[in-house]
Amino acid sequence: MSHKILSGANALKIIQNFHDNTGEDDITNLEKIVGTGPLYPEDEIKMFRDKIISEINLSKDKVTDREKQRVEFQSIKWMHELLSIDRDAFRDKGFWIWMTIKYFKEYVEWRHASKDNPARINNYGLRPTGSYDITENILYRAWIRLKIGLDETLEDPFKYNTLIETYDFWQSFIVRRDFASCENIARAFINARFVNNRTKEKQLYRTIGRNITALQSNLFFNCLSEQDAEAIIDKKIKQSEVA
Amino acid sequence: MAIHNEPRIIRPGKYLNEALDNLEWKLNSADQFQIEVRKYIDDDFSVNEISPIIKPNLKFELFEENELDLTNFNIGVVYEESVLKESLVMYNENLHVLGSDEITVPFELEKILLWGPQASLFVAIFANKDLPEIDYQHGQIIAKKALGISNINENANFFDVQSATPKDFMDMGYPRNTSYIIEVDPNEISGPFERSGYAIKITISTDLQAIAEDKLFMNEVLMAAFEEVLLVGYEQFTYDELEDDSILKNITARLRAFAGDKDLKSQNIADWAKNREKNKIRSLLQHGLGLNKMFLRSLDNVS
Repeated sequence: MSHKILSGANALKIIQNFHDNTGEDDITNLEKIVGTGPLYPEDEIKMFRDKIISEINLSKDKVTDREKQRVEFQSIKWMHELLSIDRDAFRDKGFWIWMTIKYFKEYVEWRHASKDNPARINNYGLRPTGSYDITENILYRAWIRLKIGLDETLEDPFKYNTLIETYDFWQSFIVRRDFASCENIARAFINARFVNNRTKEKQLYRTIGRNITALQSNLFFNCLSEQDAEAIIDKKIKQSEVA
Repeated sequence: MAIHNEPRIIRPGKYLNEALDNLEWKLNSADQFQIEVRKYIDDDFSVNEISPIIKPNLKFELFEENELDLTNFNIGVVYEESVLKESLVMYNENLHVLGSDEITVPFELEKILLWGPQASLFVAIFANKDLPEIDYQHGQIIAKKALGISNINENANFFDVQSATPKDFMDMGYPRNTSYIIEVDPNEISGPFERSGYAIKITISTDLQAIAEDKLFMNEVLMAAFEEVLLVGYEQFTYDELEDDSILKNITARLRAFAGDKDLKSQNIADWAKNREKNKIRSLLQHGLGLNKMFLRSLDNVS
Protein backbone atom coordinates (compact mmCIF):
# COMPACT_ATOMS: atom_id res chain seq x y z
CA MET A 1 0.00 0.00 0.00
CA SER A 2 1.06 3.59 -0.53
CA HIS A 3 -0.23 6.78 0.98
CA LYS A 4 0.08 10.53 0.70
CA ILE A 5 1.91 12.79 3.10
CA LEU A 6 2.37 16.50 3.57
CA SER A 7 5.40 18.17 5.11
CA GLY A 8 4.97 20.28 8.21
CA ALA A 9 6.32 23.37 6.45
CA ASN A 10 3.80 23.05 3.61
CA ALA A 11 1.02 22.35 6.06
CA LEU A 12 1.87 25.53 7.96
CA LYS A 13 1.76 27.61 4.79
CA ILE A 14 -1.63 26.20 3.85
CA ILE A 15 -3.06 26.85 7.32
CA GLN A 16 -1.65 30.36 7.29
CA ASN A 17 -3.28 31.14 3.95
CA PHE A 18 -6.49 29.49 5.09
CA HIS A 19 -6.54 31.68 8.20
CA ASP A 20 -5.65 34.79 6.21
CA ASN A 21 -8.29 33.95 3.62
CA THR A 22 -5.79 34.48 0.82
CA GLY A 23 -7.15 31.75 -1.40
CA GLU A 24 -6.90 27.99 -1.34
CA ASP A 25 -3.49 26.44 -2.00
CA ASP A 26 -3.37 23.62 -4.48
CA ILE A 27 -2.41 20.76 -2.23
CA THR A 28 -1.94 18.38 -5.15
CA ASN A 29 1.34 20.17 -5.93
CA LEU A 30 2.57 19.76 -2.38
CA GLU A 31 1.47 16.29 -1.32
CA LYS A 32 3.88 13.40 -1.82
CA ILE A 33 3.26 9.70 -2.26
CA VAL A 34 5.27 7.26 -0.19
CA GLY A 35 5.36 3.50 -0.51
CA THR A 36 4.35 1.36 -3.44
CA GLY A 37 1.15 -0.32 -4.52
CA PRO A 38 -2.43 0.95 -4.40
CA LEU A 39 -3.01 4.28 -2.68
CA TYR A 40 -4.87 4.63 0.58
CA PRO A 41 -8.50 5.08 -0.56
CA GLU A 42 -9.34 8.77 -0.53
CA ASP A 43 -13.02 8.10 -1.12
CA GLU A 44 -13.20 6.59 2.36
CA ILE A 45 -11.67 9.74 3.80
CA LYS A 46 -14.22 11.84 1.91
CA MET A 47 -17.10 9.78 3.29
CA PHE A 48 -15.73 10.19 6.79
CA ARG A 49 -15.34 13.93 6.24
CA ASP A 50 -18.87 14.24 4.84
CA LYS A 51 -20.30 12.42 7.82
CA ILE A 52 -18.61 14.85 10.20
CA ILE A 53 -19.60 17.89 8.20
CA SER A 54 -23.25 16.82 8.03
CA GLU A 55 -23.23 16.39 11.81
CA ILE A 56 -21.68 19.81 12.26
CA ASN A 57 -24.36 21.32 10.04
CA LEU A 58 -27.06 19.70 12.15
CA SER A 59 -25.73 21.28 15.29
CA LYS A 60 -25.33 24.71 13.76
CA ASP A 61 -27.49 26.55 16.23
CA LYS A 62 -26.15 25.01 19.42
CA VAL A 63 -22.42 25.05 19.17
CA THR A 64 -21.49 24.63 22.80
CA ASP A 65 -18.29 23.01 23.95
CA ARG A 66 -20.29 19.93 24.89
CA GLU A 67 -21.64 19.71 21.38
CA LYS A 68 -18.16 19.99 19.92
CA GLN A 69 -16.98 17.22 22.21
CA ARG A 70 -19.95 15.10 21.25
CA VAL A 71 -19.15 15.33 17.55
CA GLU A 72 -15.46 14.64 18.10
CA PHE A 73 -16.19 11.60 20.24
CA GLN A 74 -18.87 10.28 17.88
CA SER A 75 -16.37 10.63 15.05
CA ILE A 76 -14.43 7.77 16.64
CA LYS A 77 -17.33 5.49 15.74
CA TRP A 78 -17.57 6.79 12.16
CA MET A 79 -13.84 6.44 11.78
CA HIS A 80 -14.16 2.81 12.76
CA GLU A 81 -16.97 2.28 10.29
CA LEU A 82 -15.55 4.22 7.35
CA LEU A 83 -11.75 4.17 7.33
CA SER A 84 -9.54 1.21 6.44
CA ILE A 85 -6.65 0.62 8.79
CA ASP A 86 -3.27 0.77 7.12
CA ARG A 87 -0.53 0.52 9.71
CA ASP A 88 2.08 1.85 7.32
CA ALA A 89 0.04 4.98 6.68
CA PHE A 90 -1.20 5.35 10.25
CA ARG A 91 2.28 5.30 11.70
CA ASP A 92 3.34 8.07 9.34
CA LYS A 93 2.74 11.44 10.97
CA GLY A 94 2.85 13.06 7.54
CA PHE A 95 -0.21 11.02 6.56
CA TRP A 96 -2.32 12.38 9.45
CA ILE A 97 -1.24 15.92 8.64
CA TRP A 98 -2.00 15.44 4.95
CA MET A 99 -5.45 14.01 5.67
CA THR A 100 -6.26 16.81 8.13
CA ILE A 101 -5.09 19.64 5.88
CA LYS A 102 -6.68 18.27 2.73
CA TYR A 103 -10.08 17.30 4.13
CA PHE A 104 -10.62 18.45 7.68
CA LYS A 105 -9.57 22.10 8.00
CA GLU A 106 -13.15 23.26 8.50
CA TYR A 107 -13.65 20.60 11.14
CA VAL A 108 -10.52 21.63 13.06
CA GLU A 109 -11.66 25.26 12.97
CA TRP A 110 -15.19 24.37 14.06
CA ARG A 111 -13.84 22.31 16.94
CA HIS A 112 -11.10 24.65 18.13
CA ALA A 113 -11.49 28.22 16.90
CA SER A 114 -12.76 30.71 19.44
CA LYS A 115 -14.84 33.77 18.75
CA ASP A 116 -11.77 35.91 18.19
CA ASN A 117 -9.05 33.47 17.22
CA PRO A 118 -8.66 30.70 14.67
CA ALA A 119 -7.67 27.19 15.79
CA ARG A 120 -4.12 26.89 17.04
CA ILE A 121 -1.42 25.23 15.00
CA ASN A 122 -1.16 22.36 17.48
CA ASN A 123 -4.81 21.43 16.98
CA TYR A 124 -3.70 20.44 13.49
CA GLY A 125 -0.86 18.39 14.98
CA LEU A 126 1.97 20.83 14.25
CA ARG A 127 4.35 23.02 16.16
CA PRO A 128 4.98 26.60 15.08
CA THR A 129 8.36 25.46 13.72
CA GLY A 130 6.64 23.04 11.35
CA SER A 131 7.57 19.84 13.13
CA TYR A 132 4.83 17.35 13.82
CA ASP A 133 3.10 17.31 17.20
CA ILE A 134 0.93 14.40 16.32
CA THR A 135 -0.70 13.59 19.66
CA GLU A 136 -2.66 16.83 19.37
CA ASN A 137 -3.93 16.15 15.86
CA ILE A 138 -7.72 15.94 15.86
CA LEU A 139 -7.84 12.73 13.76
CA TYR A 140 -4.86 10.95 15.27
CA ARG A 141 -6.13 11.41 18.79
CA ALA A 142 -9.49 9.99 17.75
CA TRP A 143 -7.78 6.98 16.25
CA ILE A 144 -5.70 6.27 19.37
CA ARG A 145 -8.85 6.45 21.46
CA LEU A 146 -10.51 4.06 19.03
CA LYS A 147 -7.57 1.70 19.03
CA ILE A 148 -7.12 1.58 22.78
CA GLY A 149 -10.63 2.34 23.97
CA LEU A 150 -12.70 0.09 21.75
CA ASP A 151 -14.11 -2.71 23.87
CA GLU A 152 -15.75 -5.45 21.83
CA THR A 153 -16.99 -7.19 24.97
CA LEU A 154 -19.48 -4.37 25.56
CA GLU A 155 -22.89 -4.06 24.04
CA ASP A 156 -21.75 -0.65 22.86
CA PRO A 157 -18.04 -1.11 22.09
CA PHE A 158 -17.61 2.67 21.96
CA LYS A 159 -19.24 3.27 25.32
CA TYR A 160 -16.21 4.75 27.09
CA ASN A 161 -15.01 6.67 24.07
CA THR A 162 -18.19 8.58 23.50
CA LEU A 163 -18.81 9.80 27.05
CA ILE A 164 -18.84 13.59 27.18
CA GLU A 165 -16.38 15.32 29.54
CA THR A 166 -13.76 12.63 29.18
CA TYR A 167 -11.45 14.59 26.90
CA ASP A 168 -8.91 15.25 29.63
CA PHE A 169 -8.75 11.61 30.70
CA TRP A 170 -8.19 10.28 27.20
CA GLN A 171 -5.98 13.03 25.91
CA SER A 172 -3.79 13.68 28.95
CA PHE A 173 -3.47 10.11 30.15
CA ILE A 174 -3.80 7.86 27.13
CA VAL A 175 -3.06 9.68 23.87
CA ARG A 176 -0.08 11.62 25.22
CA ARG A 177 1.31 8.86 27.42
CA ASP A 178 3.86 6.25 26.52
CA PHE A 179 2.46 3.70 28.94
CA ALA A 180 -0.63 3.48 26.74
CA SER A 181 1.46 1.37 24.35
CA CYS A 182 1.35 -1.41 26.91
CA GLU A 183 -2.09 -2.95 26.56
CA ASN A 184 -2.39 -4.50 30.02
CA ILE A 185 -1.65 -1.39 31.97
CA ALA A 186 -3.70 0.87 29.68
CA ARG A 187 -6.65 -1.50 29.95
CA ALA A 188 -6.41 -1.65 33.74
CA PHE A 189 -6.24 2.14 33.94
CA ILE A 190 -9.26 2.55 31.66
CA ASN A 191 -11.22 -0.05 33.61
CA ALA A 192 -10.53 1.71 36.89
CA ARG A 193 -11.94 4.90 35.41
CA PHE A 194 -14.94 3.62 33.49
CA VAL A 195 -15.85 0.08 34.49
CA ASN A 196 -15.33 0.28 38.22
CA ASN A 197 -15.75 4.05 38.39
CA ARG A 198 -13.05 4.08 41.02
CA THR A 199 -11.10 6.96 39.56
CA LYS A 200 -13.99 9.00 38.29
CA GLU A 201 -12.73 12.05 40.08
CA LYS A 202 -10.43 14.12 37.99
CA GLN A 203 -7.88 14.63 40.70
CA LEU A 204 -7.70 10.91 41.41
CA TYR A 205 -7.21 9.68 37.85
CA ARG A 206 -4.65 12.41 37.30
CA THR A 207 -2.70 11.25 40.32
CA ILE A 208 -2.89 7.61 39.27
CA GLY A 209 -1.96 8.51 35.69
CA ARG A 210 1.12 10.38 36.83
CA ASN A 211 2.02 7.50 39.13
CA ILE A 212 1.87 5.02 36.28
CA THR A 213 4.08 7.22 34.12
CA ALA A 214 6.64 7.39 36.90
CA LEU A 215 6.39 3.66 37.52
CA GLN A 216 7.20 2.97 33.90
CA SER A 217 10.86 3.84 34.54
CA ASN A 218 11.07 1.14 37.14
CA LEU A 219 8.64 -1.56 36.24
CA PHE A 220 8.72 -3.78 33.18
CA PHE A 221 5.04 -3.38 32.29
CA ASN A 222 5.20 -5.75 29.37
CA CYS A 223 5.98 -8.74 31.57
CA LEU A 224 2.89 -8.18 33.69
CA SER A 225 -0.27 -10.20 33.36
CA GLU A 226 -3.67 -8.53 33.29
CA GLN A 227 -4.13 -9.41 36.95
CA ASP A 228 -0.72 -7.93 37.83
CA ALA A 229 -1.64 -4.72 36.04
CA GLU A 230 -5.01 -4.54 37.81
CA ALA A 231 -3.27 -5.13 41.15
CA ILE A 232 -0.82 -2.30 40.54
CA ILE A 233 -3.58 0.18 39.73
CA ASP A 234 -5.58 -1.07 42.71
CA LYS A 235 -2.60 -0.50 45.01
CA LYS A 236 -2.08 3.00 43.64
CA ILE A 237 -5.73 3.89 44.17
CA LYS A 238 -5.63 2.66 47.74
CA GLN A 239 -2.44 4.60 48.42
CA SER A 240 -4.00 7.77 47.01
CA GLU A 241 -7.15 7.31 49.03
CA VAL A 242 -5.17 6.98 52.24
CA ALA A 243 -3.14 10.05 51.36
CA MET B 1 11.25 4.34 24.26
CA ALA B 2 10.72 7.90 25.24
CA ILE B 3 12.20 9.47 28.29
CA HIS B 4 10.46 9.07 31.57
CA ASN B 5 11.70 11.81 33.76
CA GLU B 6 8.98 12.05 36.34
CA PRO B 7 9.92 11.35 39.94
CA ARG B 8 10.67 7.76 40.78
CA ILE B 9 8.23 6.00 43.02
CA ILE B 10 9.99 2.73 43.58
CA ARG B 11 13.35 3.11 45.18
CA PRO B 12 15.30 0.06 44.21
CA GLY B 13 17.71 -1.36 46.70
CA LYS B 14 20.22 -2.14 44.05
CA TYR B 15 20.26 -0.73 40.61
CA LEU B 16 22.70 -2.52 38.33
CA ASN B 17 22.52 -0.38 35.25
CA GLU B 18 26.16 -1.08 34.43
CA ALA B 19 25.14 -4.67 33.81
CA LEU B 20 24.13 -3.63 30.30
CA ASP B 21 27.00 -1.22 29.66
CA ASN B 22 28.59 -3.46 27.06
CA LEU B 23 25.40 -4.17 25.15
CA GLU B 24 25.94 -3.93 21.41
CA TRP B 25 23.42 -3.94 18.63
CA LYS B 26 23.09 -3.60 14.89
CA LEU B 27 20.27 -3.00 12.44
CA ASN B 28 20.72 -6.24 10.48
CA SER B 29 23.28 -8.91 9.80
CA ALA B 30 25.11 -6.70 7.27
CA ASP B 31 25.47 -3.83 9.74
CA GLN B 32 28.26 -3.39 12.30
CA PHE B 33 27.69 -3.73 16.01
CA GLN B 34 27.75 -0.48 17.96
CA ILE B 35 27.53 0.36 21.62
CA GLU B 36 25.79 3.73 21.16
CA VAL B 37 22.07 3.51 21.80
CA ARG B 38 20.99 5.44 18.72
CA LYS B 39 21.45 4.31 15.13
CA TYR B 40 21.31 6.82 12.33
CA ILE B 41 19.92 5.94 8.94
CA ASP B 42 19.64 8.17 5.89
CA ASP B 43 16.86 8.56 3.35
CA ASP B 44 18.34 5.86 1.13
CA PHE B 45 18.16 3.25 3.83
CA SER B 46 15.03 1.17 3.54
CA VAL B 47 13.38 0.41 6.85
CA ASN B 48 12.43 -2.95 5.34
CA GLU B 49 16.05 -3.94 5.70
CA ILE B 50 15.90 -3.56 9.46
CA SER B 51 15.91 -6.70 11.54
CA PRO B 52 17.87 -5.80 14.67
CA ILE B 53 20.35 -8.05 16.42
CA ILE B 54 21.28 -7.42 20.03
CA LYS B 55 24.28 -8.81 21.86
CA PRO B 56 23.64 -8.16 25.57
CA ASN B 57 27.28 -8.84 26.66
CA LEU B 58 25.86 -8.96 30.15
CA LYS B 59 28.23 -8.32 33.04
CA PHE B 60 27.32 -11.50 34.92
CA GLU B 61 29.98 -10.86 37.54
CA LEU B 62 28.01 -7.89 38.91
CA PHE B 63 25.23 -10.22 40.03
CA GLU B 64 27.64 -12.30 42.01
CA GLU B 65 29.29 -9.23 43.53
CA ASN B 66 25.91 -7.94 44.62
CA GLU B 67 24.74 -11.35 45.80
CA LEU B 68 21.83 -11.49 43.38
CA ASP B 69 20.67 -14.86 42.18
CA LEU B 70 20.59 -14.94 38.35
CA THR B 71 17.56 -17.20 38.32
CA ASN B 72 15.47 -14.44 39.92
CA PHE B 73 15.95 -12.15 36.97
CA ASN B 74 14.92 -12.11 33.34
CA ILE B 75 16.12 -10.15 30.38
CA GLY B 76 13.34 -8.76 28.23
CA VAL B 77 13.39 -6.98 24.90
CA VAL B 78 10.31 -4.99 24.00
CA TYR B 79 9.55 -3.55 20.61
CA GLU B 80 7.62 -0.31 20.79
CA GLU B 81 6.06 1.82 18.05
CA SER B 82 5.33 5.22 19.50
CA VAL B 83 2.89 6.49 16.87
CA LEU B 84 0.85 3.30 16.61
CA LYS B 85 1.16 2.90 20.37
CA GLU B 86 1.99 -0.75 20.07
CA SER B 87 4.40 -2.78 22.08
CA LEU B 88 5.35 -6.41 21.92
CA VAL B 89 7.70 -8.61 23.89
CA MET B 90 10.30 -9.89 21.48
CA TYR B 91 12.36 -11.82 23.93
CA ASN B 92 11.95 -12.76 27.58
CA GLU B 93 14.36 -15.25 29.07
CA ASN B 94 15.75 -16.15 32.44
CA LEU B 95 19.25 -14.77 32.89
CA HIS B 96 20.78 -18.07 33.83
CA VAL B 97 20.04 -19.43 30.35
CA LEU B 98 21.50 -16.37 28.65
CA GLY B 99 25.00 -17.02 27.45
CA SER B 100 26.87 -14.99 24.91
CA ASP B 101 23.95 -15.40 22.52
CA GLU B 102 22.69 -12.78 20.12
CA ILE B 103 19.04 -11.83 20.38
CA THR B 104 17.25 -11.60 17.05
CA VAL B 105 13.71 -10.77 16.06
CA PRO B 106 11.72 -14.00 16.23
CA PHE B 107 10.68 -15.22 12.83
CA GLU B 108 6.96 -15.05 13.59
CA LEU B 109 7.24 -11.37 14.51
CA GLU B 110 9.30 -10.27 11.55
CA LYS B 111 6.25 -9.65 9.40
CA ILE B 112 4.32 -7.71 12.02
CA LEU B 113 6.93 -5.34 13.33
CA LEU B 114 7.32 -2.07 11.49
CA TRP B 115 10.72 -0.46 11.85
CA GLY B 116 11.79 3.12 11.50
CA PRO B 117 12.48 6.18 13.57
CA GLN B 118 9.40 5.76 15.73
CA ALA B 119 10.14 2.17 16.58
CA SER B 120 12.43 1.48 19.48
CA LEU B 121 13.75 -1.42 21.45
CA PHE B 122 13.73 -1.42 25.18
CA VAL B 123 16.05 -3.88 26.86
CA ALA B 124 15.60 -4.48 30.57
CA ILE B 125 16.69 -6.82 33.29
CA PHE B 126 13.92 -7.27 35.80
CA ALA B 127 12.88 -9.34 38.78
CA ASN B 128 10.81 -12.27 37.54
CA LYS B 129 8.89 -12.58 40.81
CA ASP B 130 8.39 -10.71 44.08
CA LEU B 131 11.60 -10.80 46.10
CA PRO B 132 10.54 -9.36 49.45
CA GLU B 133 13.81 -10.29 51.13
CA ILE B 134 15.62 -7.74 48.98
CA ASP B 135 12.65 -5.45 48.55
CA TYR B 136 12.06 -6.07 44.86
CA GLN B 137 8.68 -6.48 43.34
CA HIS B 138 7.81 -8.56 40.30
CA GLY B 139 8.76 -6.68 37.16
CA GLN B 140 11.09 -4.26 38.91
CA ILE B 141 13.83 -3.14 36.55
CA ILE B 142 17.43 -3.21 37.71
CA ALA B 143 19.12 -2.38 34.42
CA LYS B 144 17.80 -0.97 31.18
CA LYS B 145 18.76 0.43 27.85
CA ALA B 146 16.60 2.07 25.20
CA LEU B 147 17.72 1.60 21.61
CA GLY B 148 16.40 3.81 18.86
CA ILE B 149 16.71 4.66 15.21
CA SER B 150 16.82 8.20 13.85
CA ASN B 151 16.77 9.59 10.38
CA ILE B 152 19.92 11.59 10.06
CA ASN B 153 18.20 14.34 8.11
CA GLU B 154 15.15 14.81 10.25
CA ASN B 155 14.51 18.18 11.76
CA ALA B 156 15.11 17.53 15.40
CA ASN B 157 13.92 20.90 16.61
CA PHE B 158 17.31 21.87 17.85
CA PHE B 159 16.99 25.39 16.55
CA ASP B 160 14.84 28.30 17.37
CA VAL B 161 15.42 30.60 14.43
CA GLN B 162 14.37 34.20 14.83
CA SER B 163 14.94 37.32 12.80
CA ALA B 164 15.95 40.75 14.03
CA THR B 165 16.22 44.22 12.55
CA PRO B 166 19.35 46.36 13.11
CA LYS B 167 17.39 48.17 15.81
CA ASP B 168 16.53 44.86 17.51
CA PHE B 169 20.19 43.93 17.56
CA MET B 170 21.08 47.28 19.08
CA ASP B 171 18.39 46.85 21.71
CA MET B 172 19.95 43.51 22.58
CA GLY B 173 23.30 45.18 22.98
CA TYR B 174 24.87 44.05 19.69
CA PRO B 175 26.25 46.22 16.86
CA ARG B 176 23.52 47.30 14.42
CA ASN B 177 25.17 45.54 11.47
CA THR B 178 25.26 42.16 13.20
CA SER B 179 24.41 39.40 10.71
CA TYR B 180 23.56 36.64 13.15
CA ILE B 181 23.99 35.63 16.76
CA ILE B 182 23.94 32.21 18.30
CA GLU B 183 22.89 31.54 21.85
CA VAL B 184 23.26 28.19 23.54
CA ASP B 185 21.96 27.34 26.96
CA PRO B 186 24.15 24.59 28.45
CA ASN B 187 21.39 23.47 30.79
CA GLU B 188 18.99 23.02 27.92
CA ILE B 189 21.37 21.00 25.78
CA SER B 190 22.11 18.62 28.62
CA GLY B 191 18.37 18.01 28.87
CA PRO B 192 16.37 15.34 27.07
CA PHE B 193 16.31 15.43 23.31
CA GLU B 194 12.71 14.53 22.51
CA ARG B 195 10.82 16.96 24.65
CA SER B 196 12.85 20.07 24.94
CA GLY B 197 13.26 21.78 21.62
CA TYR B 198 15.07 24.95 20.81
CA ALA B 199 18.22 24.51 22.81
CA ILE B 200 19.96 26.64 20.25
CA LYS B 201 18.70 30.08 19.44
CA ILE B 202 19.84 31.67 16.22
CA THR B 203 18.89 35.24 15.41
CA ILE B 204 19.47 36.28 11.81
CA SER B 205 19.35 39.82 10.55
CA THR B 206 16.20 40.51 8.53
CA ASP B 207 18.20 41.77 5.55
CA LEU B 208 20.06 38.47 5.36
CA GLN B 209 16.99 36.29 5.24
CA ALA B 210 16.90 36.43 1.48
CA ILE B 211 20.21 34.64 1.36
CA ALA B 212 19.33 32.34 4.22
CA GLU B 213 19.01 29.46 1.79
CA ASP B 214 22.33 30.25 0.23
CA LYS B 215 24.53 27.24 0.94
CA LEU B 216 27.65 29.10 1.91
CA PHE B 217 25.89 31.38 4.29
CA MET B 218 24.02 28.48 5.82
CA ASN B 219 27.18 26.51 6.22
CA GLU B 220 28.76 29.38 8.03
CA VAL B 221 25.84 29.77 10.42
CA LEU B 222 25.63 26.05 10.99
CA MET B 223 29.29 25.55 11.64
CA ALA B 224 29.26 28.41 14.09
CA ALA B 225 26.14 27.02 15.79
CA PHE B 226 27.42 23.47 16.18
CA GLU B 227 30.85 24.66 17.25
CA GLU B 228 29.20 26.78 19.91
CA VAL B 229 27.06 23.87 21.10
CA LEU B 230 30.05 21.57 21.46
CA LEU B 231 32.26 24.15 23.14
CA VAL B 232 29.63 25.42 25.56
CA GLY B 233 28.29 21.94 26.26
CA TYR B 234 31.52 20.13 26.97
CA GLU B 235 32.89 23.00 28.95
CA GLN B 236 30.20 22.19 31.50
CA PHE B 237 29.69 18.46 31.11
CA THR B 238 31.79 15.42 30.43
CA TYR B 239 30.56 12.96 27.85
CA ASP B 240 30.06 10.23 30.45
CA GLU B 241 27.83 12.22 32.73
CA LEU B 242 25.36 13.09 29.98
CA GLU B 243 22.15 11.12 29.72
CA ASP B 244 21.86 8.99 26.59
CA ASP B 245 18.89 11.04 25.47
CA SER B 246 20.42 14.45 26.03
CA ILE B 247 20.47 16.92 23.18
CA LEU B 248 24.23 17.32 23.42
CA LYS B 249 24.91 13.60 23.20
CA ASN B 250 22.45 13.40 20.34
CA ILE B 251 24.11 16.18 18.39
CA THR B 252 27.52 14.65 19.02
CA ALA B 253 26.33 11.30 17.73
CA ARG B 254 24.88 12.91 14.61
CA LEU B 255 28.10 14.76 13.88
CA ARG B 256 29.99 11.52 14.31
CA ALA B 257 27.65 9.77 11.90
CA PHE B 258 27.99 12.57 9.34
CA ALA B 259 31.77 12.36 9.46
CA GLY B 260 31.53 8.87 7.97
CA ASP B 261 34.63 7.72 9.83
CA LYS B 262 33.92 4.50 11.64
CA ASP B 263 36.97 4.82 13.88
CA LEU B 264 35.80 8.15 15.18
CA LYS B 265 34.00 7.91 18.51
CA SER B 266 31.57 10.38 20.02
CA GLN B 267 33.94 10.51 22.96
CA ASN B 268 36.69 11.87 20.64
CA ILE B 269 34.50 14.76 19.58
CA ALA B 270 33.66 15.51 23.18
CA ASP B 271 37.37 15.49 24.06
CA TRP B 272 38.19 17.92 21.26
CA ALA B 273 35.54 20.30 22.50
CA LYS B 274 36.63 20.01 26.09
CA ASN B 275 40.22 20.80 25.07
CA ARG B 276 38.95 23.57 22.79
CA GLU B 277 40.66 22.02 19.76
CA LYS B 278 38.70 24.16 17.35
CA ASN B 279 40.63 23.08 14.27
CA LYS B 280 39.55 19.51 14.72
CA ILE B 281 35.97 20.49 15.36
CA ARG B 282 35.87 22.66 12.28
CA SER B 283 37.31 19.96 10.09
CA LEU B 284 34.63 17.65 11.40
CA LEU B 285 31.91 20.20 10.65
CA GLN B 286 33.17 20.64 7.11
CA HIS B 287 31.41 17.39 6.34
CA GLY B 288 28.39 19.51 6.90
CA LEU B 289 26.48 18.85 3.69
CA GLY B 290 24.01 16.71 5.56
CA LEU B 291 23.66 19.28 8.26
CA ASN B 292 22.09 21.60 5.76
CA LYS B 293 19.17 19.27 5.28
CA MET B 294 18.65 19.08 9.01
CA PHE B 295 18.65 22.83 9.25
CA LEU B 296 16.65 23.69 6.17
CA ARG B 297 13.28 23.21 7.72
CA SER B 298 14.09 25.40 10.67
CA LEU B 299 14.98 28.15 8.24
CA ASP B 300 11.78 27.59 6.29
CA ASN B 301 9.97 28.95 9.24
CA VAL B 302 11.87 32.14 9.79
CA SER B 303 9.30 34.83 10.04
